[in-house]
Amino acid sequence: VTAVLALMRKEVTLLFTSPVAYLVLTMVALLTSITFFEHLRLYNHQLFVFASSSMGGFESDTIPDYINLRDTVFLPVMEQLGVLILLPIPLVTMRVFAEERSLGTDELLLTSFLSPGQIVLAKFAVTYLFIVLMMSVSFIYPVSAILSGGLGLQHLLAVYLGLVMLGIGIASIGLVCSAFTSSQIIAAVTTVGVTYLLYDFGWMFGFVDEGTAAVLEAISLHPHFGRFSEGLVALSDILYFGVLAVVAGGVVRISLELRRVDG
Amino acid sequence: MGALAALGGIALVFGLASHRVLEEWNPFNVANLAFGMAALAGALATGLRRWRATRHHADSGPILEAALMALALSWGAILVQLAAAVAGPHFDWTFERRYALAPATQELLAELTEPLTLTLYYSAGDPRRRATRLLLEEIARSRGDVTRERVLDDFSEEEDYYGIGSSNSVVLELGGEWELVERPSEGSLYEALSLLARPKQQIAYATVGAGEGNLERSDDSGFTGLRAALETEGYELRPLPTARIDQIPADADLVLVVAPQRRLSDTALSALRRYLDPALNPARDPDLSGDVTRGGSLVAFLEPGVQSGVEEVLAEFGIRSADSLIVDPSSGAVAGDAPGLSLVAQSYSDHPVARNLNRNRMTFFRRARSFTLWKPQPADRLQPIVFAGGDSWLSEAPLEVGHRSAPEPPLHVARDYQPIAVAGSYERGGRNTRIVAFGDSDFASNRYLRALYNLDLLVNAVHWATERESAITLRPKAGRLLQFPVPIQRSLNALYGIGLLVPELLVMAGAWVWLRRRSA
Repeated sequence: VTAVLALMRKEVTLLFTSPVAYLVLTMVALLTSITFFEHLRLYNHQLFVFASSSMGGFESDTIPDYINLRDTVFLPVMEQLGVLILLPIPLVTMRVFAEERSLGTDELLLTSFLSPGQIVLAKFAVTYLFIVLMMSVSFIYPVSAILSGGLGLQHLLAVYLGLVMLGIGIASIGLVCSAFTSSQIIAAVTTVGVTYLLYDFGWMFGFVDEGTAAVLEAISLHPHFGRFSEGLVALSDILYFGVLAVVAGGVVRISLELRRVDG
Repeated sequence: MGALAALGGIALVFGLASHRVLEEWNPFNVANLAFGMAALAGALATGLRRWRATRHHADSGPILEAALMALALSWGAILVQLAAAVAGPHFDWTFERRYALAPATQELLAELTEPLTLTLYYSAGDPRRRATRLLLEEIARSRGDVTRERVLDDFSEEEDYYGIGSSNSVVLELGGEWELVERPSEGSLYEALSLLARPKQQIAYATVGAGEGNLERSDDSGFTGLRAALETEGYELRPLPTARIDQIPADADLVLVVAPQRRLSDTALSALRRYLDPALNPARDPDLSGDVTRGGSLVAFLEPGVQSGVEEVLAEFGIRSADSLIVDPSSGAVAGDAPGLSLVAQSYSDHPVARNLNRNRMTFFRRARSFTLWKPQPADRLQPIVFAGGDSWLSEAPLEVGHRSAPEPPLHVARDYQPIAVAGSYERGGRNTRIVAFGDSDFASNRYLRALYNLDLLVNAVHWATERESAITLRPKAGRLLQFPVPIQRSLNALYGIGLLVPELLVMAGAWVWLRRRSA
């Protein structure tokens, strides 16, 4: 445990002595704030247009059903942020294994008293904690803006949880890509490509049968993440992202063993 | 090997995307797919060859061990996830509890004996699809029923057959019958399912001809909502013209009297008396077998300021209603009426009609009259169901609609929980008669029927009157949408205060780290 904690400490130090972590945190926090505020402003604007005295006032039921916090704010913000975090997360995961390989420090690590499983555990844990931190920082503004109304906080929490889970899913793919190359650029680009491919297979449903479509949907990221934006938190969706993490951990461990054997 | 795999992957993506866009096979996508698969196969073969080579040179035990452990863990995790997808817990964190099914829906689903199929028809890109689909999955989950999705235009024969006119429509199929729901919500799906699962078993007659509430009128003051709700619950509604009848039809399971504005004819009132008290009915022999069978069932809505004659009939059954108005000082002004006259009731007795209602499940009445109860016969059971607030008092003075100021209580006025709705059960001529009387009809009008728990109170009262206690439940509520304004100035202040401050501090921290690293 001490060795794993020591490696985690080293990873955290490496992460936060590089400006990339701050840039990523800033980018996500800033874009979340602006996206959320813009949708909130649009929602308020529509609400007041439909409830204006010329439309009959607030008591006259002139506000269409589709103008509500869920459909006008939470769902579009969730969809946009889901696509947005496809870019910054690979910037964080690309260096985790690829940098060690390019600098040659992975050989030192693999010959240390740490087993490949422990190395995987420490590096994955730090990356996931960074994802949680990134989403927490970015949600400070949405929570404070919604807090004034006092309603919808639970739904916002579901949205946040969904984005954390999606972030963990993307990070898992990113860590696998980083483990098989010594180039950080290739790791980042491959992560974006693979995630983009896995994001939603909905476009293929038109030319596959129902059974295949069901399988494709079960492995896509978007349907599992989308339920959170609807306010529905299912254990199966949380476990889906857990499965991604377990599979990624297993694959990375194999890559480390191969590296150790190859020398 | 890596480069070959990457080239193969790119060719596959281009091939599939090209087929998706063009919706046909052509040399470009076929060549891309063929090359992609060949490249991936080549990369795999190269990888295997290398692996075999390394296996000769080095100990492959740890690799095999890692691969087996990864496989075992992955399969274990996938199996747990699949099990959770089938029967795992899920939590509805929406404000309006959109995906938590109402007890009535759950009970109705439990009653079904045949498999149910729910098919969603949608246009590509319809944003409502996901929410509807999740709702259908919730409905199908409890019994393992089938949900399907169809893209409009791909199934034009089905569209014509079911008469589907818009995206986001759902067809429910049960035992060879089907119902189309064009604006799916839990409430509308429940109603459609009720029509499929519960054929009309009971006949309810609604009196007409004395200015009663109109069950065919669909505006705010009409009662089409009441009609639809009763039809959903398995009642067939028929008109009962009181000017032309001398007795209630023998097939009547229930008589509804919805706020008559004029006096009913004496013949009609006599017919009502005989219906409620079989001992008075020469055409209907009293049951002398000793078993108490069902007698008359009456649900009456009375309005203050009207003497329709029904009050006299009710009084003979122990339900007296003085022509007075309940004033509850704790209620505010609603819809332009004076304060104190719009009653939000949150006190209920332990009567079966109010079984699921409590302080948090309120009902709304507008300008109601009160009741006092007495027992005409020792075995009669009479009980209030709903009360106005504890400080309520009765105003004898008539108040015009639109009167803006609150009525003033006379000196030493009696204040108490005034009954707004009462129920009575009687044994007459070997039969069991049941009566429910409400001191208001507005609560059942289209305008207020779906407010708070009015619909549940009303339908449960009808079920009790017809001795269908098992059907007493809570029905799906219309979604309460989050449509309150979020103060934009406060949001802007929060954006400047937190939304921009946090990124600014992060940039500062990043710059400081970068500069320190450069100077080191």
